[in-house]
Amino acid sequence: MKRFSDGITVAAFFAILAMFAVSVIFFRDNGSIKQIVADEPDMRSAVTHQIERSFPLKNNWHSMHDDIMLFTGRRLFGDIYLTDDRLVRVDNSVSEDKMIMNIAYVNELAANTESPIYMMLVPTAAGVYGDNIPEALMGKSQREMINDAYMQLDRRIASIDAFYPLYSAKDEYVYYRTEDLWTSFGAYYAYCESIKTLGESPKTLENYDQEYALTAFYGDMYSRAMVSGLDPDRINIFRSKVHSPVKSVVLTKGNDVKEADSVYFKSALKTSSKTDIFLMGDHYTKCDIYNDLPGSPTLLIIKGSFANTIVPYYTAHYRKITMVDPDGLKAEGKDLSEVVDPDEYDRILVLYDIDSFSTSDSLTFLK
Amino acid sequence: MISLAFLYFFLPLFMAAYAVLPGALRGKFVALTGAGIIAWIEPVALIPVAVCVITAYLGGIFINNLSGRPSAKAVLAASVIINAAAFLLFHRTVYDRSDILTLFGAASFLKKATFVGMAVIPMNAISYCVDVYRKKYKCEHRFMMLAEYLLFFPIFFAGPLIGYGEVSKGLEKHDLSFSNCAAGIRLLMLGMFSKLVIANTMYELWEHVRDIPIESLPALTGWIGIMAFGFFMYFEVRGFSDMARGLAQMLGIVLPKNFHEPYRSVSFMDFLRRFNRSLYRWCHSYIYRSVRSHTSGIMGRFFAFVLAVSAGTFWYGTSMRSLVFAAMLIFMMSLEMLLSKPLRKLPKLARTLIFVAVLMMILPFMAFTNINDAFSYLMAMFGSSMIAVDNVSEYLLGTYLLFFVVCIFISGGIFGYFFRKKVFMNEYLHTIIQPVWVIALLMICTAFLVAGDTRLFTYMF
Repeated sequence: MKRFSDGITVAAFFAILAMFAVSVIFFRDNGSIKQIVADEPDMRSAVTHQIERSFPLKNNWHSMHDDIMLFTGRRLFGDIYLTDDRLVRVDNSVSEDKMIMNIAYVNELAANTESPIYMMLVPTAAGVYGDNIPEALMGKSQREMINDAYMQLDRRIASIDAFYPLYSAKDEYVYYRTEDLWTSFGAYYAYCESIKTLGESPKTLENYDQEYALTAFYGDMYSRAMVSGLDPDRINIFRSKVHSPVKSVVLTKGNDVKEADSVYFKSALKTSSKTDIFLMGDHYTKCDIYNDLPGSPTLLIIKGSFANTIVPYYTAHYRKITMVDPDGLKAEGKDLSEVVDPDEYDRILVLYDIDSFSTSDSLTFLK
Repeated sequence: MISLAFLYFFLPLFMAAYAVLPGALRGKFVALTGAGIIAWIEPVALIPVAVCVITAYLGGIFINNLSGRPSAKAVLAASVIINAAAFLLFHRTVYDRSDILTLFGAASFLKKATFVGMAVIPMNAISYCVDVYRKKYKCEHRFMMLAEYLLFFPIFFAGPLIGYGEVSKGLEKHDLSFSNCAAGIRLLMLGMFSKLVIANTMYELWEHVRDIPIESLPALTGWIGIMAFGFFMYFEVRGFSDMARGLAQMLGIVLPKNFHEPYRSVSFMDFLRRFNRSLYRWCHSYIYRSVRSHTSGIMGRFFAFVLAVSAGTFWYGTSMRSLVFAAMLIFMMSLEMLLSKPLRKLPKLARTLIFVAVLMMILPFMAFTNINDAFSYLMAMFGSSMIAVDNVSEYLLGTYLLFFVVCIFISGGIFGYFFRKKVFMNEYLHTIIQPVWVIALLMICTAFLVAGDTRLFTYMF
């Protein structure tokens, strides 16, 4: 009996090893062996990394690992925390010093332009769902951080409170469960609040047709915490029931120029970054949206990632919207004045999530 | 030993080649593989390894041939000095990247190079020369045979340290069998599980606590952190040691058990005998006994004791923390001797609890390279921050409670008790369950190899 058991143990063990080893060899990542070796510092790293990259069922193994850790009581995976029904990024790299410095850059921008300037700092899911995260993992509350930032703004800059509308709607689908972004619904609540401060009346949701661009997707946070039992996300987009005002969209990054006739880029749904459906995410430095609204004002947005989802709502109010991404400016080594003239715009809106605003190194390029 | 490349490629290919080769070539194949692994990780490391092997081989022959003459002792001394120097210069721990130069505050020697096997090869070379000198066995004239013993790669990381006499028969026979192979696989998987799942998790917890500024470290968090470090150290060394025993058994060589429920010890002396037993035997046999034979009186005994304990702690890193920890151990053991009478009257459980509490108090000196940090941490464990518990303590306790329970069960001997009582020893059940849990462990280890923290896929000491 023992011999039988031993035989089965040995045979099953080596059969499994061989099976996976063979599949690594035959289904390895594309790329020539020469190229793989050239990309790594030495042969040992090349072999090790190639095996890691090509190992079969990687997502399943990852999911198994995270489920085991979850079973043992772990809910924090790197900087991702699992609450009852969602993943939340807990960013402890937030620096108050950096935030103060970034506020100074915004104040400097306001001092150098005649156009009225507004600022909206948006809480992330960690700020809105902070009650579901252990205090030990939370730094300073996002509400306090946003208030502190607003207190330091130049009095020429009008602040917009996005925290309260989002917090009040926290039981609705305002943030993705698996991606560190707000949904179109979350963006809508912030839009209603912001557009009033910008001097316009918000359009109600009845003016839009809701379209399910993608009904089941798992975002970037899920790739870092693949726990079972999380409901997938969906991407909703809102299209105007009447004629869409958007005439054209021009995206620019260096010499790369892309033109389109919609703010929604469905081609992004075929990529790994599905939420790039909104204005191609953060891939471009500058985005000009021309709308068929003669006589209406123009808007310049200095943007973080959260801006992409809200801008489709603003298209109903402005004849031209320009978004500039300071991260793109940094990458291109350009200042804001080399890309746009802020004085040409009727309004300027600085729109960031508080986490990015407190960690960004790019606002120094707002000159 | 902790990578997908090792488990899924090296292991099956090596075992297939080993099984196919005729018995006479298997030993040479193991030796060449050992040298190959050293070169694969760091080719420069072959130089000190070659020095150790050649010194042991020539030293053994000369000691044997000069047996009884004073020059034999000189050859032995030269072999010991060369190998001890190789150990001190080239053995470096990943935990604090220290070598003998860092002990004196200088920059680390050959900073980037990783010298695999340097914690074991010089120690085994010394034990071989001393044993030949003591006429425990005859010197080995076959170079490849001795090279196979010293380059026996399964024990490169955490031992167990084995005398040549203990394994020479096994090295000659290379008895491959299903029962040995199955037992080896079980040990290998258990060792890998200990390392990947338990030791790494405890290390992550320790890192979490270590990163909290000392001035705001609550007492409870301090105790949680140091417990995590204690468990990390145990499961780290035990994991690699079990993997080594497993791999050796797959090759037909049975190595002795290296750990015996150390956190069940009733005293520090008991602890040293249970924690890394092969290291204890080595220090006792080759340092304590050697020095004792040349000294007399209580001071001589104490001197031998100090040397043996210091060498034992140096095995976990040649840095100041090892020296300070050795001093702590010596102090505690001296105290234990003085208080031996009243301590013996206490119930065993009380002695174990006292021992564990005192061990936790001196462990910061092993955990921190800087003695001031260790002292501050110890103060924080006793409430220097004026905070007993905070939300971090509650969070850590809640998150890692199950791991702590498992660690206490294994290291405290509760699992061992059930196995000794043969609670799970129904033969039919055993037959069915054994392959299932081995494969389950393989799956779990694979999941941790794919998704775990790659930073920790190495032996830390």
